Amino acid sequence: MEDVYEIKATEDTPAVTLHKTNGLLSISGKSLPEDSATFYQPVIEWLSVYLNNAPSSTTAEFKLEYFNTSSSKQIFKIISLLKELSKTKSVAIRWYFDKGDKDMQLSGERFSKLCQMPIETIQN
Amino acid sequence: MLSTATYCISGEQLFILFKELEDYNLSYVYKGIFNPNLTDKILSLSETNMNLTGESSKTQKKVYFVMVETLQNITRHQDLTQSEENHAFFVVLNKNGEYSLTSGNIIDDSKTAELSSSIEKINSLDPDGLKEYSKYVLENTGLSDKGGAGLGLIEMARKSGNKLLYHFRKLKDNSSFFYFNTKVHSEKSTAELNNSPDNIMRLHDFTKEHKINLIYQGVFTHENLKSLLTMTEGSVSKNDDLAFKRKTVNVMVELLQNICNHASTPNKESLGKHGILIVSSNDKGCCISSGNYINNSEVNALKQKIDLVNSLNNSQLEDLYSETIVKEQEPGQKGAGLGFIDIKMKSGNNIDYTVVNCANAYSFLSINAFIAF
Repeated sequence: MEDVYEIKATEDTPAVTLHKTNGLLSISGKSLPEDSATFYQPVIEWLSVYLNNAPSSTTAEFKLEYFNTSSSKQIFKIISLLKELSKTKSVAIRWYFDKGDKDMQLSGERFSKLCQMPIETIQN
Repeated sequence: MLSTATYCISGEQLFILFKELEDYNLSYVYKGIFNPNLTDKILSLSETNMNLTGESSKTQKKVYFVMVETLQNITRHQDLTQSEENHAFFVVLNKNGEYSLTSGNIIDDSKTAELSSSIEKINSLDPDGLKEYSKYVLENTGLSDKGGAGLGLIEMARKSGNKLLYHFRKLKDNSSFFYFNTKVHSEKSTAELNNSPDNIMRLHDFTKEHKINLIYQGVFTHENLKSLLTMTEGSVSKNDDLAFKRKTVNVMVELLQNICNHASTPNKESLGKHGILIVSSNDKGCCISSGNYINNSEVNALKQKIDLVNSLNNSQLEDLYSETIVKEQEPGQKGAGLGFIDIKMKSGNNIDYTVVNCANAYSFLSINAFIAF
């Protein structure tokens, strides 16, 4: 597997950075793809391999402005994989939201509850 | 909770408008404040449409030119001190290879005579005369105080190959609404020139009556969706509330992706999913209305879905969200099944919908979502 996997942001898809050595996962921007399953497939595949040789600690950062409901299903899958990893390694998930964007804050809290996984919600 | 139906255009009215516009390959109406960013999005929306309908690059270039000039004219001459009702207005209609582009803005009555005579002068010239006149203006006239060279109108007449149409509609006080129309015909155009401004004025009155900022009728693709989102983001941004703006865009994404994924197209060749989108706003909030045909076989399942969402309180809605997000998507399923749940969560209001049976295998579905300030 590649040490660093990157997807550049577009008008409707987020920037994604996956860094194996540093144990960093970052998704930021707008996530409104027409076909979210296809967009997130390589991210989920990379993570599935990463789980087996992850460093001692992993940090995942979500800095989203918008995401559609089909993306939320994929984000749920990503957080579920991180939950799996947290059984053996240290995992920190940070969910950022802009000041006043109550819905984005609530989304972070909702994912935390759904996945039964601590997610720190942080105002930008 | 506010009653969505009270603040939005009714499903029946939306269907009547859709029927009226349905024969057009594209109808686009915008009333509000114009800026270069909006111009870019209108251009890209029209470009996507022209590419889809396989328009020749020659026609595309002509339409593009006239559209840029029209939009720049509005941006320059709009009167930002006016109330919303008198905001500038822009319409693109495309039917059978005829592109009709109309701008509308308020104008002081003291300026109408000069403007009419400029346009009449242009309309009196043949192509050679226009060429000469263009050269003359270029060499002899300075830039006007609003930055236009007067050349714009001449070039619009030259590029379009048609006469420029205009109409002044008297308003109260010492002002009028100035409608200005240019038509471009493609090589395959079969359209008859309709010189009456009545249609446009009716459309304008309709937008005023229902406090509409934007109407888009045509093909819905993911590309178009991006332009429509940015336009809406811009049109609601006069309200600085970030949460409101984000809610509006989020709700709109779900409604537009519904059209892209589920619309049926009974009367069109299969160029894409056909539908209509309306964004309107009043002092209470913003309404997003979508309309499209669906197969009759899908109506009941859809009604059940929306009725269920409407019947739930917040905590029940959270439970349904949790249940749905963990479900594996079925093969071929395009959405996540969360759209209506999300619309109700984000808007905080029930989803208003109307189904009109169209006496064939299809029904027309309209959906209203209302986001309060």
